Amino acid sequence: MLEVKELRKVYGPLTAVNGISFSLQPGDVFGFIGSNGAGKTTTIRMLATLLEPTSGTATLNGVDILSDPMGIRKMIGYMPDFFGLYDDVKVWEYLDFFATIYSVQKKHRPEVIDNVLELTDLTVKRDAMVQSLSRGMQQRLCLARCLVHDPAMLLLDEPASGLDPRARAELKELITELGRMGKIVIVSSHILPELAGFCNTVGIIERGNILAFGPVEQVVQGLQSTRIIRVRVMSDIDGAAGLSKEQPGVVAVETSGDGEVRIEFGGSIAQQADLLERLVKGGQRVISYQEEQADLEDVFLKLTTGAVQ
Amino acid sequence: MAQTKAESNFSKNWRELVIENPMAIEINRFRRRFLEGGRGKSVNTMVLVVAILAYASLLLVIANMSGDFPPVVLIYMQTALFALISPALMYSAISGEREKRSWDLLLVAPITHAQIVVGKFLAALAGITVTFVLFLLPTLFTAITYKGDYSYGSGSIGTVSGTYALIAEEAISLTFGICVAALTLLFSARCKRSLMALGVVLTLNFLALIAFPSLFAMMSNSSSSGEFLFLAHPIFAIMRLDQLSHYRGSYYSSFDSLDGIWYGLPQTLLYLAFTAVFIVWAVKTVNFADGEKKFIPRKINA
Repeated sequence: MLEVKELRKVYGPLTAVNGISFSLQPGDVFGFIGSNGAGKTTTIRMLATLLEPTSGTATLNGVDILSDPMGIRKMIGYMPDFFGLYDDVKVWEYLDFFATIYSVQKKHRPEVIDNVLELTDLTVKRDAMVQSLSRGMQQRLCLARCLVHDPAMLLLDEPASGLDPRARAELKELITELGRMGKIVIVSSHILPELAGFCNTVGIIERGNILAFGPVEQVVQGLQSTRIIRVRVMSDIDGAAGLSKEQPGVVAVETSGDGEVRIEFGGSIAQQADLLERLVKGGQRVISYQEEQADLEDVFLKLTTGAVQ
Repeated sequence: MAQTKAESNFSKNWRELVIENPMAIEINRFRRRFLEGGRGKSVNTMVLVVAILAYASLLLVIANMSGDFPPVVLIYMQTALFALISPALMYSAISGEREKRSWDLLLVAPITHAQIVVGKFLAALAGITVTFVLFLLPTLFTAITYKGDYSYGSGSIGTVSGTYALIAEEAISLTFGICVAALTLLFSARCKRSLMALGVVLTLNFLALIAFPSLFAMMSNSSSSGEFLFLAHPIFAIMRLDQLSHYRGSYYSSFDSLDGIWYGLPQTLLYLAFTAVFIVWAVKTVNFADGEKKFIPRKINA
């Protein structure tokens, strides 16, 4: 379990991270969302023990980043927003180097390397030179490096930047799999569609402050006092609008020329079901009844101002 | 009690930094990079080929001049080569990691700064050892076969024995190479750019080994004060040892005040001491170029 407590980092007059707190459980894939300069990388670097917090701390499975950084380093895999690869070595040599540094026993190293190569789908590139790999493969190799010591937590800083759509999709799949394996995965990004698919928890940060934190649905719904329901009917659009207005929970109703009724709804889920029932019983031939899904991007734009420090 | 504690600390550090240092894997990286045909990098391959050709030519010359080739010439060459090879081995050790942006990956691993620096240094030692052994074999051959005006066997023609001179000269040369490697590592730790570290060390070598001694020799009227100033100069110390091993008098040199006790061990210890200082300094300030620390820490007023 990761517990971040009042973590704060100050550079002279600039407060990069302003006393943030949150906690994550094993299996959580946490999307850390923020504009450039919001404080994501600083937070991740503090969790990775690369930066000393000005105040506050964090613990991973009870080990404190300040009092036992070596203990933390054994439990984390850190992938920065750049590859940091040695180009004069082969893929297996690169992994062997880091497995040695992470004190993986010599007799277990070949097996560990084979396993992480298989997980990252790089087995066929085992003997290739690192410099010959495509960008997507290099990114997967970086992830493989993070996994050689079987860490409890992965810190991935902008992992998909610069990747093509296929490589992104593969990376998403891999990160989802890592979450299923019970690892805590923190993924920072400012590209929201990148995170929406596989994160089960998100945190939105701006100017060093966390503006929202929690499961994706909760964060999205928490910001919406009402939701939009779009109803398409066969012919009597005014009748449908009239029936809708009578339903408890409906805040406002609008009609459009193409046979669609747009309903702003603030009621419960049961009331939402009742609305459909009312329309059907009222003689309306309903073609579609759809709640407009707000997404992370909407939430992000609503919450943040775009200001950086 | 205190001695036992010191011994215990020493053995703990020795185990952590040398015996069980995971960064000793750097030796393998060094081997792959420099000794496996350049790994497809044309520059590495070219340097390796030129080095092999140069070495083969040297061996041919020695074989051709068998009996007439003074071993000290090889030690001069070896020392001069160390002044170039040591920086070449070490200049990118840490600054290169910064340039490749792999530095963070080492810092976030469960190893100490000392283990990183010492691991890098061990890799350089491997390179220096290879060079040293490559020169030692022909040096021993020439020492045995040389028929010049002094003997390297049981010879005691001069004020120091030929054998002592040979060992001391090799020790000076080797420790000088190690010291330059440590100096380069220090600058590599303190520079953001590898070429900057290389440039600084080569400039310092040029100033210390050639420019200042030449300037001083031109300005000085010789004698004892000059000899003291030249004591730390490896080529000068090797030259003096060579002279002292086959001349009893002092007529050969203009610097004639110091006897054999001043050459060999003092330079070796001096270079080793500097090596230790440079390594410790590199460890202490390894984050300097990351902007986390200042070269001279600013005093914080309460």
